[in-house]
Order: sequence, then C-alpha cells, then structure tokens
Amino acid sequence: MLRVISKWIYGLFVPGESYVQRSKSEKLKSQNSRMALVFFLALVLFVIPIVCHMIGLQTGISAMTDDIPGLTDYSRRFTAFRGGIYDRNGQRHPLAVSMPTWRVFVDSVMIPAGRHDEVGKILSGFGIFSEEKIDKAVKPGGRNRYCVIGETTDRAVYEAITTNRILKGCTGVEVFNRRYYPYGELMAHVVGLANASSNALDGVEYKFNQYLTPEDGEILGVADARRREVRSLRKKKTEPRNGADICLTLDTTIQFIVEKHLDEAMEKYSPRKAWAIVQRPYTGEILAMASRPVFSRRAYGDSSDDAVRNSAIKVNYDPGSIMKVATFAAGINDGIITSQSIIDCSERLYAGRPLSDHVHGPVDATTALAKSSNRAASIIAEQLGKERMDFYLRSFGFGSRTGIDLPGEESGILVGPKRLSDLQAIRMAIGHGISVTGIQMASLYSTIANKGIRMKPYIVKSITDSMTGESLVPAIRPVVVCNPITQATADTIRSMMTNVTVRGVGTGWRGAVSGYNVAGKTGTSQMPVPGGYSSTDYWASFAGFLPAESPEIVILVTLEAPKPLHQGGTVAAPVFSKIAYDTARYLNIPTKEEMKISGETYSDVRKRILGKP
Amino acid sequence: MNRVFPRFRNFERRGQKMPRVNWMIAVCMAGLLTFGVLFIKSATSIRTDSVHYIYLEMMFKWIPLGLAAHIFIAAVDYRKWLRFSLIPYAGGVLLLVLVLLFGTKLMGARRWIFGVQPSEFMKLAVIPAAAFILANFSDVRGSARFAVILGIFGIPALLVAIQPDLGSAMAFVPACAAMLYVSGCSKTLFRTMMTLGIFMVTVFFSAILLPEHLPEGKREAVEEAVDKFIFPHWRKRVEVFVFPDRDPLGAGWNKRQSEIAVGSGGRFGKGYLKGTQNILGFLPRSVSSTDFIFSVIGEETGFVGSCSLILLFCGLLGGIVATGYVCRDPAGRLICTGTAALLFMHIFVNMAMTVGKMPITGIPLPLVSYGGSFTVAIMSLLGLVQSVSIHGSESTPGGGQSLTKGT
Repeated sequence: MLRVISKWIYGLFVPGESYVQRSKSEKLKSQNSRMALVFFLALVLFVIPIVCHMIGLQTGISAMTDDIPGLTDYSRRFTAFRGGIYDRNGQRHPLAVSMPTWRVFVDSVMIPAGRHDEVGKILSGFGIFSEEKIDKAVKPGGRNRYCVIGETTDRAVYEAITTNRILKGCTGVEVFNRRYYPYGELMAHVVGLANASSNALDGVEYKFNQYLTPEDGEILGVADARRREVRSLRKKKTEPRNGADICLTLDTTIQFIVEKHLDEAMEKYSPRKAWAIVQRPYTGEILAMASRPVFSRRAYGDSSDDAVRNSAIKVNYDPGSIMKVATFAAGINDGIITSQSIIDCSERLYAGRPLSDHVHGPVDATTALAKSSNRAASIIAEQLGKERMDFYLRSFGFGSRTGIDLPGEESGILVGPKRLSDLQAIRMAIGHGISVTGIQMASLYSTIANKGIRMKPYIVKSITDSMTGESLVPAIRPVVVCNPITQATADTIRSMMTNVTVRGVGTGWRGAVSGYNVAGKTGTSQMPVPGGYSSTDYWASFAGFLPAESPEIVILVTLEAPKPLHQGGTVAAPVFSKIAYDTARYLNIPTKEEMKISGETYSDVRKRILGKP
Repeated sequence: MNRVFPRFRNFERRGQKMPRVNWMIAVCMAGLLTFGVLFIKSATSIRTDSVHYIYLEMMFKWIPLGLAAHIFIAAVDYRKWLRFSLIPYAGGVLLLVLVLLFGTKLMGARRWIFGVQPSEFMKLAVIPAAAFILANFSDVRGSARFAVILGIFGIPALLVAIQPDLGSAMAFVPACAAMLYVSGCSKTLFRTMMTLGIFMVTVFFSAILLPEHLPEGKREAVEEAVDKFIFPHWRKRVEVFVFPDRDPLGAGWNKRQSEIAVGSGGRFGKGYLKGTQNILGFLPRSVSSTDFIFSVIGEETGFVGSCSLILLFCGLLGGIVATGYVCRDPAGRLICTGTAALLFMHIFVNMAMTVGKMPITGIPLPLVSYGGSFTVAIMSLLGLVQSVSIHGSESTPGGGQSLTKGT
C-alpha cells in the first residue's frame, strides 16, 4: 500500500520515469543526497514554522483581528433648512427664515510661531468680528483652543476664512442652522417661535412643524484607512430636503397698523391685556391678529404668561354687549322682532331679578341695539326661549373651537339649555355668563357681514415645497361652516348696527370712521372675580365692520382691565376707528365720496380687492 | 504520471516528448498565475485610476508573453541554451552598470532603467550562467571553481547592493550556496564561507540592535556611525521586526496591518473582494498588489486559501527538485537546484515577512505578485527547467552535442 502511494507521488513529480532505481555514478549519487538534504532542511527550517505560525495567526491561537467597532464606518450629514414663513404677499415679507450661520473660532495653539499679528490683521480685516475678541484669541502664548470670535451669515466670509492659507490651520468654522425673524416681534404670537435647536414652541411654527421640519441629507458608507469614503461601497445616500414654505393670510402692513394702534392703547389705558383681529368676512381669512403684551424673541423664557399667550384665541372672556348682536339677530331671524318692533324696557323684574339699564320705557329695536339696552336683549331671549337661544349661539360658533389653524385655541364656555337657569339664559343674551374667545366673536361679526353665512377662520394661505414650489396640500379655499341666519336677517341687523356708530344715536360713535358707514357694537363687561363680578376691572370691546353696505373687513378690539376709563365705547371704539381707517386706506376701499366720483359699485370694489394677493 | 493517467501512454507510444513534460510544474504554475491575476484584481478593485486595470495587463500582456517564452525555451534542449547563457548574464551586468549611472531615482534608490528593474532579470540570468560554468569546469580544482562561481554571483549582487537594494542582493545568496553545495565544491571553503556569512549577519544585526542598550549620550554617536555603513531604512525595518509595537502608525504600519490582514482572514477568509484590510487601504495600496499580495490572499481566502497557495508552491518546488533529482546531467541538475533555491528564497522570505516573521524587504512573491518583467523572467526560467525535464534523460540531445560529455 505504502509502496503504491509513494509510486504515485513519485509519478506526480517525475514524468516519464518508471519507479526503478537506476544505476548512477558515485558523483551523481552524492549530488542526489545533497539535493535531498538541502531541501529537507529548507522544509524544516522555513515551511513548517511558517505554516505553524499561520495556524496560530488564522485559527485563533494568537489571532490578530480587525474587529474594531466603528473603525470603517463613514457618515456625513448635509444640513437642510427649516422652511420659511411668509405673509400673504409671499417671499417679499419673510416672517421667519432659516439661514446657515458660521461661527468662527481661533485655535490659539495652532497659530504659526511669529504670525500672530498677521492672523489678527486678517481677521479684523473682515470688519465683522470684535477687535477685543480677536486680540484675546491671537495673543501669543495663548492656550485656548476654542476662542469664538463671532458669527456670520455671509458665505463670502466663510469661504475667505476656509481658503486662506494662513487661517486654514488655526481657525475653524462651524456651521449652524439659525432661525431668523426679520420682523422681530411683529406677528410674534401667530408666527410663533422655534428655538436654537429648531424645536418649535408655539404658533404656526408649532402647528405646521411637520411641514417646516427639514430632512437632513446623509451619506452612510465605508471609510478607508485615511478616513476617506470608499464611493463604491456607499450604503445609503439621501439628499437634504428643506422644509416647506408657508404663506400666511396675514398682511404685514395691516398687522403693523393693528399693532401700532394696540400699542398706543396700551400706553393710554394701560390694560392688562389687549387683542385685536382683522378678518375678511366673505372668506374667513385673518388679515391681522395681535395680542398684547407680547413676548420678547430674545427672552422667550423670561416672558410672562400673558406675553406668551396669544390672547385672541386663548382667552375665554365674557363679551358683554357685543353679544347682543347675536341676540337681536336670533330674534329677527325667528320673527320675534323686526327692526321697528317696540320693546318695552321698563323697570321690572327680569327672570326674578332687577336689571339695570340706560334705556327706559318702550323703544324700537334699532334704538335698543344702538343704545345697547340690556332689558331689550333679555326680553328677546325670554321670548326665544333657552332652546332657540342655545341653537343660535351654537350656530354662531360659540361653545366650540372655530378650528383656526393655530395651536391651543380655547372653545369658550357655553352651558347647555337643560342646565341653564332662566336668569343665566337672559344674562347670556347680554354677554354675561358665557365665555367666548376673540376669534369666536370676530366670527360672529363676520357671519353677519357675510350675509348670514359663517366662514371658517383660517390663517395659512399656502404650503409649498421650498425647492420645487409645488403645493404640498390641497389648495386652501374658504370653507363655509353653516348658515345660522337668513340673508334678510343679516341685512336687517347690519343696518341696525350702523346706528351704533352714529353720533347722538349709538354708544359707539367713537368707532365711526370718516368717509365710511361703519356697523359695529360696543361691549363692556365686568370681569368675574371669586364670589361675583369685579367693580373695577372690565373688558372693553368694540367689534364692527366696514363699509356697512358691503363689508370688506371685520375688526374686533378688546382691552382687558383698562384704566381709568373702561367703557367699550370710549376705550375700544377709538382703537377700532383708527385701525379701520388705516386698513381701509391701505386696502384701497373707497369712501362714500370717492365712490360717488369714480362711480364704482361695491361689487367692483370687491373684485378689485380680491384681485390682489 | 503515465501509470496514474493512462492517457499519457499514448504519447509515449508515439514516441513524443509530451509525456516528459513535468505536469506538476505546469499545473502549479498555472494555478499560481490564476491566484495572482485574481488577487491583483482584488488588491486594485477599489481604485478608480488606471491601476485598476493592471490585472488585465497581467492577463493579456505579461502572462501570454511569459507563456510563449516558457514554451519556446522548453521546446529546445537546455544544453543549447546554456551555450548562450553568458550573453544574458553579460547583458544583465551591463544594465546594472547603466542603472547605476543613468537609472531613474525612485524613493532613494536607482533601480529602474528603460522601464524594467535589471536586478530582477539578473537574479534569473545568473543561474544558467553559473550552471554552465560549474558543469563545464568540473575538472578544475575546487578552490578555483569556488572563486569563479563567487565572482559570477558576487558581481551582480554587489552591483544590486549599491543601488541600494539589499533585499534583492540577498536573494543571490541561497541560490549561490545551494548550487555550490550540490555541485560538490571544497568542503573547507564552503564551511568557511558559511561561517563568514553567519558572522556577517550577526554583526549586521548587532550593529543595529546593540546601540539600544547603550546609555543615552553615547547611543546617538554609535547609531550615526552605524548609519554610515548600513542604510537607515534597514535599521528601521529591523527595529520594526524586533520591536513591533514601537511605531505602529509609522514604520511598523505595514507589518502590523499585514499581520492583521492575514489574521483576520480566519479559517475560510472574508470572501473574494471582501477583505476590509485590503479594500479599505489599511494594507497600503502601493504594495498590496506586489509585495503584500499574500496578505490579501490570506485575508480573503483564510487559512484554507493560503495553505492551498503554499501547497501549490510546494508542488512547484517539488517538481523542480524532482526534475533535478532524476536528471543525469550535472548542468540540468544545477539549473534545477539554482531555480528551486531562488524561488524558495523569494517565496518564503516574502511569506515570512507578510506574516511578521522576518523584517520587511522588497521581495515579491513569484508568479503571484504584480510585476511584468519579473513574471516573464520566472516563467522563462521555469521553461528552462521544463526543458531539463523533457530533454534531460537524452544522452545526446537531438542534433546537438552534450556539453558535459563532448567538447
């Protein structure tokens, strides 16, 4: 057997020779033995040790491995930017934008010897970093490896620093994604806030965070020994996706007008809070929404709760007399009264309690509204009954959120008819014992202005992809919610409301706007305090629209606890008047005289205004 | 062979020379070339420049060229070739002189001229020349023959050493020693030379390593003196070998990464084109396709693959040695001895350096490493061995005269 195997092996190495010992000379035999010896030695001295070493190396006895976690992982991120927020005119008015910001720092240790002055000179040459910080950073012998000298949003500066041959080694640039609010605190409550880490905190920033949030691009792959990426082994690559751009229905100019006049009122009457809303009645879009006090963008965390809160949608308050419009509208719609009906507002018990009023004796309904008669409203409510009253109030949108696209909206408090006492029912008719929000109130006036059709208030005009410009949501259109009163009722109550602003007739003559017929209503309500109502703190309101013939804008102004005056007609109405006048002029709504001259009809005006963005 | 594979009997019956072809050499050579092309591709697979295509160059240019030379040389009786063996030798020496004068300087050494490394060519040209002289001067006195053969090997070795390319110069030594020993030179002289050689190596290593133990002040002076006689990069390599952990990111990088590559291959390897050490360039890309191809193979095919490669080399060497063993002609025998010694030196110095058992020298792995001229030269030399296998048993070669018996 052994012989056969050795024959076979011999045959493998030596071709054409039979396995026989051939006669050889002595010399050849000695050479044979020497050859064999040499290669036997070689085998023993070299091959066997190497194979043994390989066994150790590769089969685990003294194995070396490259198993170091993360050694060859490669990843790189590409910053994407949070979407911008703009007003109704689009990109011309950026309310919130994200921009790359470069933070420049100096590594003092890495400044080449003897070139400190030169480095300092180059850095100060940019003219945007403070000399003091530069001097501190480039001081010879400095040991600080991270001296921040400033920030810039200028790409040219960033490129100049990173390509400068001397600066390259000793300065570093970190890129940040910073949120900027070019208009500062204007619209702050609506726009909201995103902090340094791009976390949204409030407003549109918060509500539409999912659209605004960018998706960073990323490369995941394999790094080679020099930490460069091996392209052919790339595992994943995603492109950065900037967040969507959002256009609001707000108009920067109208907002500015509103905030300016609110600020003036704040100074004059020093109310605790104040808010105002400008709405377009026939679409429901909000043209301006402002609340006071306002937080500081630089110190959001230190601002008071009142400043942080968007009071126009987040405060429940007793509206007072501005609610009477709803009561009268309900009465007219149910045929209980007409504008000429005589209502007896004489001294008696209303639901078992006396009710103070500035109107006495029988008056017609128009005067009752103009003079803001508590008794007239109570009588209408009594005749309507709790069920109908509740029906109308709910139809006007009280007691539930309007669904405006802002976070944290309050729903107001509206007690159901079954749990309502008679007294409460007639108090609700004059705006007490019911809580509403500013936006609900603005919505009520818009419904009347819009011929009885209630529109859903909205604040976002479009959401578009910031790169392609495509819309990311179905086109946003005005939404009809319901139709609580007929057009005839709306027309009647509208003309009745016009008298409110007529001097000598109504309580709200300070809310008149020169050149326009204004329909409106004043409201003053005592603030509830524990155990009853405050005798010093009031909510002073004025709500109305103009032109009364064909309303273009609805404005609500409310001041909380104004001092020393507190009447809606004296405190809120002038603010309304100023806002209305400026806004009407800005929107180019013609006055009565102008219309006479130009011969424009109201439908022409509406077309012209709608034609603008 | 014919006993195992009856097919070959037909050739013998027809009186052809095919059966005398040493198939072991042929098959192993083909296997090694295949290994080479595959793993040169692997070592360059990640590159995007023209280096990525050197495996194609190997496949379609150098291997066909080498194969043509191999077959042509094998087809003709080696005794005919031996008559001309001094011509390539003289040409090689001339090139080595030229390279010293006009060669291209790369990384501190003049090694290249006309796009080739004459030292690689010289290593092979010296073997037939030495075989020719040793066989032809068999009646000359031992010591004189010794001197002649030392001269034959010594001249090119010296020329290569002053390039400086000490690694390649060392490659002459085992071939010289083996051929001298097998041809049966004076034992006294041989032993003296061996002793001298061992002494020289000892002095060399101690000159590098002893200053380590000297006190601080004296050490630098001694090291400077030593550097005048020995090249500084050699000191580095020996230091790396003796103290592998001293500089793992600098001089010790190659050794360490090569060891990691081989070790991380494990039993069965990481798979073809999947060796991270190789693909990701931890094994420096400049050497992974040449001197460190064995670590690429070790990493991607593991213990099984590298042992297969070692087996292929053993088969090749065995085939060469067996050819010499049965050859009745001293010249053929010496050719086989020299070739085997030279290849052995290359293979095992390269492998030992790859697995960290020897200092790093620029010695490629024959037939596997990338290198055009070297592969063609090795294949030509194997062609001569094949010729010995085919024609060695003939007492008088076809139409020619025996160099050993006649003239």
